[in-house]
Amino acid sequence: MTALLEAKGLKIYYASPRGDVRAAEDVNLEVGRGEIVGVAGESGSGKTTIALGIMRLISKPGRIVGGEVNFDGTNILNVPEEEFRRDYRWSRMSMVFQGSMNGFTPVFTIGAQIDEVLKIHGREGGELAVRKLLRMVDLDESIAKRYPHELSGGQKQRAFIAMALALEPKLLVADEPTTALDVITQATIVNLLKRLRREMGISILLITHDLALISEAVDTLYIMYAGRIVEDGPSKTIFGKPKHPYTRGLLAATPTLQSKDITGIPGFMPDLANMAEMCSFSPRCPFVMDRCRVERPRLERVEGEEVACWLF
Amino acid sequence: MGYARFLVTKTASYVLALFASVSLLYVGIYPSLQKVIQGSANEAASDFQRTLIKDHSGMSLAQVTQAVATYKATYLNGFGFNQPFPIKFSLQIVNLFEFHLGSAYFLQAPNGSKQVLDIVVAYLPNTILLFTTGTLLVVAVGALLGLLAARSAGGMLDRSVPIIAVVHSSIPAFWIGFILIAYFAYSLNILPSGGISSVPPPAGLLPNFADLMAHMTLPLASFFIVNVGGFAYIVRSLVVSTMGEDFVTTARARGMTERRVLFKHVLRTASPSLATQSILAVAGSFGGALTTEVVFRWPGLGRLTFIAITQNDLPVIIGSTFVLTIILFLGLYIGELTYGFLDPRIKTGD
Amino acid sequence: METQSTDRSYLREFLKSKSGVVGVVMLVLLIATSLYVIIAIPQSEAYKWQNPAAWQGNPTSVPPAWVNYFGVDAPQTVDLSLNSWAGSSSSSSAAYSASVSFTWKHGVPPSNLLVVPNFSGNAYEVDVIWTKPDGNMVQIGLSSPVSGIGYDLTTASIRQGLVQYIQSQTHTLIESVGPAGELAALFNDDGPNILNSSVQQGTYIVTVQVVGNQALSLSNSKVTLLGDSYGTMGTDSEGRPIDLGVLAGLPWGLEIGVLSAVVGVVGGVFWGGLAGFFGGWRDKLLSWGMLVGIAIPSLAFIIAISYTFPLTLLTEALLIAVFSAPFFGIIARSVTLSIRSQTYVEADKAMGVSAARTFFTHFLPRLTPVTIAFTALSVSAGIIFGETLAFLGIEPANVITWGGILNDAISFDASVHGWWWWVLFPGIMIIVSSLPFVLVGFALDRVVAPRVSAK
Repeated sequence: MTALLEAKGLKIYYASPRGDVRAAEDVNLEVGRGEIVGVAGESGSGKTTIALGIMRLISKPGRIVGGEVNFDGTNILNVPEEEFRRDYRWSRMSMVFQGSMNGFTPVFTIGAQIDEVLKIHGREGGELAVRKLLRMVDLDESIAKRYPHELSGGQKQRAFIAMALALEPKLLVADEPTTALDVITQATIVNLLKRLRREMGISILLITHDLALISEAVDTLYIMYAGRIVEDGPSKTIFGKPKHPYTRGLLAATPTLQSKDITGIPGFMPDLANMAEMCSFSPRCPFVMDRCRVERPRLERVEGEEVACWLF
Repeated sequence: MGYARFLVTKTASYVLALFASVSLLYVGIYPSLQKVIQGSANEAASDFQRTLIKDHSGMSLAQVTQAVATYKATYLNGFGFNQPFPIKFSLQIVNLFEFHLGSAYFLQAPNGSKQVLDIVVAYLPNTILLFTTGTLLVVAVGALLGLLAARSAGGMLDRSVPIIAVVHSSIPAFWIGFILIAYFAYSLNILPSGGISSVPPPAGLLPNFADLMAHMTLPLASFFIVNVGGFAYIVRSLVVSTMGEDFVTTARARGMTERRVLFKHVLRTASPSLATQSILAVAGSFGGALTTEVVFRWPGLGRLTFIAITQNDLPVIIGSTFVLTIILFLGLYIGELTYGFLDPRIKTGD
Repeated sequence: METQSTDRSYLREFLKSKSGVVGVVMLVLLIATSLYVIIAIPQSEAYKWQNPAAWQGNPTSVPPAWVNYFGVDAPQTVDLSLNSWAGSSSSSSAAYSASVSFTWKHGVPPSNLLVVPNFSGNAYEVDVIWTKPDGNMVQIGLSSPVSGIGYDLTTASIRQGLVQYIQSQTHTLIESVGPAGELAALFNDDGPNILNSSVQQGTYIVTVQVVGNQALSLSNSKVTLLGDSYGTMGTDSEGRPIDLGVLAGLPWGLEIGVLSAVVGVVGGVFWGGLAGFFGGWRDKLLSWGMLVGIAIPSLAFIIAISYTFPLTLLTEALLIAVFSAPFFGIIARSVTLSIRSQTYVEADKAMGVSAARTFFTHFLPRLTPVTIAFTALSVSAGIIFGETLAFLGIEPANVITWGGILNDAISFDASVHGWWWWVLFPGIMIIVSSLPFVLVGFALDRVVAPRVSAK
């Protein structure tokens, strides 16, 4: 069965006075039907850029420079904007943004906005439909009459997910859906996503910097660093035996209840406007070799997953 | 509910503010005001004396003088003269708010009355007519221009708004009137050069209305030209900054057309701030409206004040200022209530 | 450290703006001109401005001299000095006479004739014998003349003499004539149609005879043909040159603008800054104060106050500042609130830093760029406000202002008469003096604004 979503060689750059900032370089990604795929990395790694790119929401000064994004076999990068807006965006694939707390227009009620989404896509709106969606995300129907500022962060996030599901999309892109929420609410949201996949068969692309959060939620995991995928594969495999030094560092940096110390990864991400021909992680890598500094490693299949590292 | 509470607080705030303003005015004109009241007392006393002499010819001169003196003293006491300041202040302020504005030195109302209140009331409607129409035009067109400019982000309209704003900020309101008169009234001779109606006024409702429109055109144009640019610039900045907010990105993501995003979501969200800016614009443009009246000989309070200045008619100046203060307060008050109505955050009692 | 580099980058961005640079250049020119005016035109000129007698040698309400280049026949003023006096005197009487001639090549007469006899002693009579190119002579006389006074066509005896001459030509009885008729008598072709005939071009001879009861010392007497045009910007109805007024008004215009702006903006920024900084009841009180300030009709108030407390430059600037401060207060307050959401006031408090120090080290520096942008825009507003007040007749005593000149213009119905120079030039000056501040202010605003709202 073909994958629902397939990104091949996706390149997204941002113009800046210092030259093009290469936010995403040669990204290959696949999301199967009914699969939850995670994309993890630190701030600036390019994960949000990928999400926006897939939804074709990149705006000036950013632009998609190259690559394909195939949704159900069609390269959606070539679809005219008007057609994309009508037939794809939100109806086939929708997105929950980072800070969706601010995703609602402050002056309309939650219910009115969800209803609007239904109506402008030609579906039947109305109170019943809105209530059904709210129930799906475990929200009381009284939420429909409230304004965004009256809701808590968690409630807003769930309401937004309800709005993202309104048109029954096949793919839900969730960009940091739990940041700025408390731990308990975070777990609630993740469980909600898992339940939605179970009950609706929806595919989810889950983007986060919090590895601990997604450890038992995602089927496949992609690790991004400095705009590239550095490791990807079944999440069990990666969590069981992380290979790329960056992944290892990330996992080690995640504190658990048993942790005694906090370890970080020293150093900073390279300047994405000046990418040299070398492994981007090498300045910070504890296992760095001479070869790492002059030649960029490519993704290679290793033990059931892919890694881009000269150690393998 | 939220709006009720808002209403109460706002009203209290405005009432107090009006009182504070009038008190400030009072302090600023105190010596002149005392002079005016004294003059008023003198005039009332001589009128009384005349009446006494006419009607009660039985009284002796000493009795008349005594009666007049008592009369004058009572009159002045009513205004707090010869009494400690707090009492004087309260009495005079109360009299002001009761619109006991005295009588003019030289000017008179169209119906012949010399009462300042009558004079002011006679000219007030014309000011309201011109100012309200002008403000509505400026706000409506300015908001539209600003919106369209923000939408075209970098396009021709967007780039010309700052230029128009620059023009607006450096041209004095009254002077543009001169230019318009010189060109349209004298050079092209297609519009009247001033006043509110032709002499003699045309008969019939429709011709009368058309005549009024003809006379209003140039003053409105003058007021409009000077104020619309700055307001459009503010609206544009406001809309542009609102468009940078998160919910706009999500609105687009949800499949809305750019048009819907702008005219429904952005506009509605920015309305409270727009209302506030409109209020500020109204307050700021008031002075310009008054001087426009002078240039176009529009028979409103601005022109009345100007004439009173040339004639040094102090009671009229004071009375006119007082009434203008109340008008502006009323206008702003209505504006604020509208703002509260538009912002749902107020309704839900945040 | 950080503030320094941001200041420099602000400067760099500002210089990129063309309009901003143009504004600065204009500003420099204005300030230079203003300094020149302060030095070159002493205060005495301002007094002279109010004194009509000082301008009697100028034509009244005439356009600028350069209209001649545009095909308008508008002759300039011609001064005819009477220097060589011949005559005799005895112990009880004296009679002198002097002549001067001039050539007139214009198709229109001058706007006025001015006779200024200058003598010491007592004179009975001054007679003017006016010989036209065709040889005809007109005689007019002044009895009991006063030395130094200018007698023109409005003088009764001169008018009488000319009316008589016209009557002698037309053979009809004429009650009175206006200046046009008087000039016709002096300059037109003679005959029954003298009032409508054309101007004689050629050589005119003017002979002045002075008769006194004693020996007179005569010097500096003159006859002036007041022109139909004058100077670079024409004159007003008193004969005052508009260009002088326009120049003289510059320092005051700039002063009122700058003074009111600086006080108003600084006051407003502190007002709003402290309101946003403190929050709570102090904020509510200060914000309510801003409401009061905005809702007061400032123009009307200042007018009323000026009747009680006569205005000076300082008091007027202060009043304007007081009424503009609340507007800046509102903006400063919202900027402060957004700064507040980015800076940790609580952290400072916890560390024991005094409120004052926090305000000055964290908030004020961030408020500075906006403040500078406001100030520029506020100067232009102040200039316009001040000139508007002057236009309504409210200005300090003994200053020349553009608004004041325009006030005269409207009082004398300049637009009705078509005296465009009286209205155009002062108005343009107001624009020219406020425009650079606006340009600079907007350029600064563009530089500052994106950073203020940056999240």
